[in-house]
Amino acid sequence: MNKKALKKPSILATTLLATTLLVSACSGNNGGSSSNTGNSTATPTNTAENTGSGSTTEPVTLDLFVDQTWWPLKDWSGQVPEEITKRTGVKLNITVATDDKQLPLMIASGDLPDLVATAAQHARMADSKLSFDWNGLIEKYAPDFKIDSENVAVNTASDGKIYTVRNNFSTKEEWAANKETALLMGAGISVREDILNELGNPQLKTLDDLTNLFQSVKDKYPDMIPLVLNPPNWHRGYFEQNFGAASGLNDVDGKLVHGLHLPANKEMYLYMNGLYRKGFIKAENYAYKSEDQGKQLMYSGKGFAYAWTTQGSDRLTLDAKDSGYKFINLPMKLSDNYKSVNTGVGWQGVYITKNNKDPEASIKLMQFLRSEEGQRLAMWGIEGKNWNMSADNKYPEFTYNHLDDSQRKEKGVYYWGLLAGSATTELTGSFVPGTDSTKTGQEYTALTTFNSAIGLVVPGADSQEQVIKNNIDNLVKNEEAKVLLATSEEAASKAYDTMVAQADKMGLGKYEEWANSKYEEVKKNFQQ
Amino acid sequence: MKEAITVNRINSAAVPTQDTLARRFRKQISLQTFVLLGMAFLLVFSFAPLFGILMAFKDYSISTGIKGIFTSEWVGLRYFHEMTGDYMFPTLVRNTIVISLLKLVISFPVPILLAIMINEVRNSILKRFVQTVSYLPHFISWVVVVGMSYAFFSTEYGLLNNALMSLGLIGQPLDILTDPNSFWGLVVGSAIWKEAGWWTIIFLAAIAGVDPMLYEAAEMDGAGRLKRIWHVTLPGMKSAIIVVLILSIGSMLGGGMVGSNFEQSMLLGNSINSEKSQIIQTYAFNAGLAEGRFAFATMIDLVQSVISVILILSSNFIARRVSGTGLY
Repeated sequence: MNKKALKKPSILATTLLATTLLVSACSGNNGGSSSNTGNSTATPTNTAENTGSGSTTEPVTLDLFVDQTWWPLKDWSGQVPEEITKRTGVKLNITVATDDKQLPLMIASGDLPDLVATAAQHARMADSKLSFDWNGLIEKYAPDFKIDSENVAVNTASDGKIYTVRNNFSTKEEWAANKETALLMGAGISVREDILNELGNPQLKTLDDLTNLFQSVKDKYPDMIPLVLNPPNWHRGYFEQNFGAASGLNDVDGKLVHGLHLPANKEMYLYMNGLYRKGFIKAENYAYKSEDQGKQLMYSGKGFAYAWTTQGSDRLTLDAKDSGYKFINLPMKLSDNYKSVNTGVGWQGVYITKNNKDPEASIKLMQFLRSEEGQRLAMWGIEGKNWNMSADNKYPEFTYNHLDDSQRKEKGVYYWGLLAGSATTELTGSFVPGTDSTKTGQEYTALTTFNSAIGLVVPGADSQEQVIKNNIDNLVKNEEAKVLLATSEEAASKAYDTMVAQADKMGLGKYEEWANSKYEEVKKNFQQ
Repeated sequence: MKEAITVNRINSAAVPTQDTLARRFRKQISLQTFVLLGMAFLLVFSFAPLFGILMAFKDYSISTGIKGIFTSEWVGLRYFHEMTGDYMFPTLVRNTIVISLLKLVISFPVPILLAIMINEVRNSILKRFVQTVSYLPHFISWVVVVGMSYAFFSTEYGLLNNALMSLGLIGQPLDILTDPNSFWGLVVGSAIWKEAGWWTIIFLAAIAGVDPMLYEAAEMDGAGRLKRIWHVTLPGMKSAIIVVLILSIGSMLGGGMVGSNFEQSMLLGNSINSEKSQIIQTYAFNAGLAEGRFAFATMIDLVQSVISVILILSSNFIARRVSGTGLY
């Protein structure tokens, strides 16, 4: 009898366990959507209360996913976010991507937060099934939110709607109004000033001069690495500019040609291979996966030159302050073939997803962040407290070091400006008269031409052209190391030709053909 | 136990007996619950999602959601042809198979040998120490292991290269992390380091099950240590070895018992060693998932699953023929 009594609860317990596991398993399976809807039905009552009882109550909290692994601000704190919340009644709950596959997987599972800021997934997010179009939201909630025609031309999706207005784009008027202070950022090379001085400041007018400079570093400081490349993004940039061959599409006499089809591109690869063969670049550099691996070599004094951006010198000097190294930028133009074209159509955009619990607050937040006042607050800080306009009213003068990342993080400034700020607001913010970055920036801006139409030649998501383009990008990623690390010039040349032949087989020609027809189409938008 | 059964009998005798199956089930209910739970798990997580395979033959776009798997257009074997037509395809297949085979051949005997060696150690403190140290790496994630590999093998700041250089044993740092030719050795070596100790536990358990009388008998017959290992320990481990071997062959393309082909190729692979490091799974991830081409990724994985099923069926068949022991 006793045993029977004991047995029953154990059966009960096991069945209970079984059913709970089953139930939780089932809900886990289609959890993406069900738990989501649960969420979004629960919160509107919350926000309804908010708007109902007036705007002075608790701010609305919206979830924002930032699709940038390097994004330094992990929460909505600091003076600037607080001020934005005060003005808009919106608080953001931040999630930063852990890798670049996270957002695609979130899209696939339907598990999107209220807002998504992305630069890599525009084609996917600009979809009426995933995101609200701004046209509708503006009409309904913010009729006074105006978007000018150039931004419309740049941000219109293939279905004729606008799903976001990207940051880092400026109209012709904005560029013209700020041409002395809105300095473009391009690829640059920064070097250790002390060593350059010790080498007697050799003249740098040609690429041969650059090669000689690296050689003398190697001779005089055999333990140093003459050139360290920023691993993921900027490793070829400076050389692309000086050889006049961009890695994507280039306008050659009105026709678009892919970089792989330009003879100058091959010359650039061979030159870079030469730098490796002469021992100026380490092979392992091409295996680094994070920017820090390269920068560490600079901070520790192992590297002489760092291929990064036109703002590299000041950023490195600041970050290496413990070691006391000072960096300066090399001249931008070392060749008559120099070419830099700004094809910018903006970079990052905020999407208001269909899961958004308060589209009204969201579009109003974007309206504020797009306004001149909002842009300046988010990008520069609080007027009168963090900055004041210069005497000539051309650029902000900061009361803190605007380029210092630790101060930016503490105030929560600059990065939130990247959600919607224009290129000119962003760039005038980094204008500091007399610095090395400014000098290089002016040099670069003066050398640069504009062509936004190229930037709009972007294949649609899941299109055949998109597949070809991705395949070719992956091909270059996988194969370029063979060219760059070839042991002789012949081998490099052969490896390059093999890479291009493979690209042709994969449909590079077809892609160029499509690009040219699309180019003709979008050029019209800009002529209007 | 007997008492419980009689109690049950008396109890059930009162109930009219109609269905013996139902009665038997009720009697075994606590045990059956475990089986049912396991089956439910398989149904929910392994069988139910199988309909997603349809995607591999359809022009599917994620924005159409789960419904789209059924409603989108059929494209037949388009993705299969796209995959086999890719210039990387032969390389991917070669790398996948070679890395998997190397892991199977080299890493499979290691835990068996380690288990036998640990079993032969008489000092129990040393025994436990070796066992703990050898299975601890199992708990370190691959991301961390790869970080550690940079600390050890980097040409610029790696401990190993620094040590060898300062001892004057090498003039040039060894390109372990970037030289394509060292990639296969690197993955097999690091996988063994990480997982061998873990699998040793299973084999030690098998050895513990061997009747000590057999050892005594063998000793009486004049068998030395090696003879005892050969004639008593190894036969005692046979069934455990075969089951683990079949499971390893079934999951061979994922790396077998030491696993992690994907993690290793993804994390240790880079643009310099890509010709040796890219495998089918990383391709499925990069060309499929990362680009949001789920249908394409599904096709790639489907092909790999078909190969795995063939491998497990044939290895089981061969194991039954050769040794009489099999999974089923």
